[in-house]
Amino acid sequence: MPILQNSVRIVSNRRLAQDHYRLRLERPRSFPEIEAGQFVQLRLEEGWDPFLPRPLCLYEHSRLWMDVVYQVVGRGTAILSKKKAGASVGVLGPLGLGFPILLDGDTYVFVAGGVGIASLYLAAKELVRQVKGRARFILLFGLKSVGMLHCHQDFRELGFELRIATDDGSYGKKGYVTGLVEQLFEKEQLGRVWVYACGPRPMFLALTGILPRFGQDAYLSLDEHMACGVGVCLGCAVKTVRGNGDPYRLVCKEGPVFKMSEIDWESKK
Amino acid sequence: MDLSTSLGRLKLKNPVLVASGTFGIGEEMRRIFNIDLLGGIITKSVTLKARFGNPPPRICETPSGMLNSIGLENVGLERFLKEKLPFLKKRKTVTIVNVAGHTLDEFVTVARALDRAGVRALELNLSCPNVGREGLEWSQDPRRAAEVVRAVKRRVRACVIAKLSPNVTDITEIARAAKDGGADAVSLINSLIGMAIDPVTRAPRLGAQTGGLTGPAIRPVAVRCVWEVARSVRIPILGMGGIASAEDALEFILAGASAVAIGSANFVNPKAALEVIQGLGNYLKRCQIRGISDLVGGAQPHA
Repeated sequence: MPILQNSVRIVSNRRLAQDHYRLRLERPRSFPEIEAGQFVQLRLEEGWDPFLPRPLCLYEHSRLWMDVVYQVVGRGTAILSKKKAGASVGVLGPLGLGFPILLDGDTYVFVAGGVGIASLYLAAKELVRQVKGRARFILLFGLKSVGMLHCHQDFRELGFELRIATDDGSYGKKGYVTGLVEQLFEKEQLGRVWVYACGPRPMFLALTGILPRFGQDAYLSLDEHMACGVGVCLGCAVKTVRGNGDPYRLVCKEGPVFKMSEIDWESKK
Repeated sequence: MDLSTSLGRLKLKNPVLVASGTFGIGEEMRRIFNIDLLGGIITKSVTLKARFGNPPPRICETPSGMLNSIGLENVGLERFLKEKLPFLKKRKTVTIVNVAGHTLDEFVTVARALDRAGVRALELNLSCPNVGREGLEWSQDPRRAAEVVRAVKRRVRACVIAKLSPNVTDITEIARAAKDGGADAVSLINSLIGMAIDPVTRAPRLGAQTGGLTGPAIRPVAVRCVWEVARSVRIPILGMGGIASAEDALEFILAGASAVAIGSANFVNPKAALEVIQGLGNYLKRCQIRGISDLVGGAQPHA
């Protein structure tokens, strides 16, 4: 599959919640087909500081546009958040291998921590399109505070049941999203379950302590410091539990989606 | 208008290569643009045995640059010959295979095998900062630099380029040693050793603690190294270190480099090398200069 590199125009750059934005970019005609869970490298084109592009999952797209949802976490995303419609950014993509679309589930559990929700929406949309009416869809969403609530309505419109937790109790249940996960698996008959998750490292680590108790694996979209995004710099290596040979895999090229059971979580603690 | 150049006996159709470790062998970048247009491809380092690389995090962004501590991850000589070299042989551009080793024997064994497999140019990585002190010491001690170059040169027909470290007191001394060892050219420069610490976790930002600093931040250091070597040692220079545009490349050429390599700019703009080739062509046209070789070392010192 080809990868397109281009300077593209910003259609809109809308604030969704505190520190969270939805950026709509013009989709070049030659931009290849996008799979759920794939990402793009976004580069600020003026100057070399910040130096590296930012890897961001594609949130939604049409023939004419493509969206990413991002959180302002540092100088690069702060500069991006000030960009107006008509300005341009460098785009490289689509990159990585996305989520498997597994059609034989009775229940699909999506676990999102903060802006991680943005990596899950395309997979949610695709699964609903293919198995709606035959399966139950649940979003478990954890975030710091109600002011950061974003994207959840898009899942509701797809027909998801929503359960939300906030660290400070300002919305939904007080606590972490992993509490919701534990409660769900303890209390309900879910049948055959597929778990799709994206969030910060502590959320993943907590999931590794919960899901195996229920014999449950998960597909996770991982985040690593990344330079090239295409597999040449070898910077975004993640350690797996593969026994013989090279234990490392590249988040950009062989991921960002990995099975939870593939990753060496001891190395992430 | 002539973009062709040469590094000793190695002829290049244009002076813009891609630096070791920033392009793999081109398999991925080929999905983005026609890599046959490059002046040459310098591969990721090849070692005798496969190396899995350093524990993550392996990279960290810094002002106008980045630190990396990849740790020479590569599939090893045997698999390189079987799985990677056929791809490179099909390219319509020069392949320079970067060779790294812990011992003199390892350098010689890998270099000989590549030479016998038909590789026409080798870049000896005498200066990797990411495999402990032993990686660097080849280019921090002039005697050892001369020794390894000489040992390889004796056993191969390929053109031998010694890649030197800026992490030395006097780089001209090492360049002279490489020349005495018989090097056909020198690559200047490898990354600078650097470090970054996260005040939140109070831990180094790289899994290997320290790493190699690259990117536009190091360009002035690299240009200075090229300038110093060009003015004191008669040896062709392949210049690199923070080149991201044609203007950057011209600095190196004017300082004395016969060719240049694009490094971590490939991560930011995969087509950077193409843009540099085009920009150099435009510069020649605009200044009515016949060829790149007329510019090499063209910067005159102030009186």
